[in-house]
Amino acid sequence: MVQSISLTILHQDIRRSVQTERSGPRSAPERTPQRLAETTMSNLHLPVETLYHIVDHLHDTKDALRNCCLVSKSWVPRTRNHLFADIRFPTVNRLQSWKELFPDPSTSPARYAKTLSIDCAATDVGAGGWISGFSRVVHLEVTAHFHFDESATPLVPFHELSPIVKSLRVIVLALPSSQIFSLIFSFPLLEDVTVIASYETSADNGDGSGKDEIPTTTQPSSSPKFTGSLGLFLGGRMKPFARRLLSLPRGIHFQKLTLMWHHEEDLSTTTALVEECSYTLKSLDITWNLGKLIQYLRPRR
Amino acid sequence: VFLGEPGSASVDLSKATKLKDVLFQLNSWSVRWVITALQTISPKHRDLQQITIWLSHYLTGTLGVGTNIRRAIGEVNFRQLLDLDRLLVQLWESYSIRPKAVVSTIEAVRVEYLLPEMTKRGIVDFAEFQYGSQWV
Repeated sequence: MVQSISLTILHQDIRRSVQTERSGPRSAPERTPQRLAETTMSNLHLPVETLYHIVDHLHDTKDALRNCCLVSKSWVPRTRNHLFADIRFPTVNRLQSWKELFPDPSTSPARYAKTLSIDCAATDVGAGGWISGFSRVVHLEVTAHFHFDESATPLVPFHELSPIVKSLRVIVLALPSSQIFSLIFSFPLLEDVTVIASYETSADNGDGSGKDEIPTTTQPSSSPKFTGSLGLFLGGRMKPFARRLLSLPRGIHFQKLTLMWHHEEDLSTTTALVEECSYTLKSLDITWNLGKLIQYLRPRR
Repeated sequence: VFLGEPGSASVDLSKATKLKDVLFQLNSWSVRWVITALQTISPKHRDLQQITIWLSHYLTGTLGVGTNIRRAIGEVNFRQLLDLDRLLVQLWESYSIRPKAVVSTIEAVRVEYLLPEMTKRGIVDFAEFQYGSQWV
């Protein structure tokens, strides 16, 4: 409690200091509380752990974090860890703004991002190499809510985006499931997977004879362990998608399954997934016949 | 998209003995598949603490005041609902698995006809229904 109060006071002092600096030089060096804070901050040599503690304490207060960036250069990296932790590009314009602000991926604050969410409505989403800066992303959400040409590969730019991606959420209108799996398999530490697709995720007709079926030889020899949660919200049948998960050499070990079904055969697929995860499964959510699919799939802004 | 009524198919939970909670979100009055799934629960499910039945607003929203519920949802479906109600109470009394029904506050008043035993025992929660909230 005492520690929390102290940090709050210091936070207020920092804000006063920033406001003081912005308001210009004072006529007389009065020892008012504001002046004291200013003096203290200008000569401040905080132990790095204390600095980290202060900044981390303010992690969910954007305004305070922005002020922290103005305190000292030494405060900037830790502050950016929080300011740029969650990057979202819901529109092409937002992405374009980012590219213009940070033309060089190697020096952009992208390296601080832990969460990246992008609606890749443009077919050239990967242009400019901006993606390479996001090398420390842990949570990735890709929305391809767009009708692409058959030859389009909108997910390819995100392959191997970051070696430490643990959570992947893919929202597509219609894409071959092979593209989705290629993305999934490019993240070796993946734990959580959610796939939301309005229509059939492949040209597969559900019995395994479809042209989108991945030949056995292209199944990865090593796949993520899948120890978190799986969410499948598919407009088409669940079976073609689930079959690939069920045939992985290392198996699946999800603790939570969230599955939507509307074809009767999806129930046997659900049972297969449940049984495959039976040693680890703790939570099961099953939804039947969820209408209003398009309404739900509207990209979030 | 084909949205058919399920026949006798269901989900077998017998092997998933580590389960702690199960949620069925219903968007149809046909609940036989839920009953069949719950019948695969046994004393081996020692960790199972809660079974939630989430009645979609799109279902209960059709049951306005003055509606003959039995006629509105169909005799067969109505009986299945009563069977589900009894089964959930039975699982609670036999295995201490807490049942829970989530219904939109708007239609809360009608639940006593759909799940009478659960309502009598006060184990129905009312919630503002957020469509697809578990996915967001």
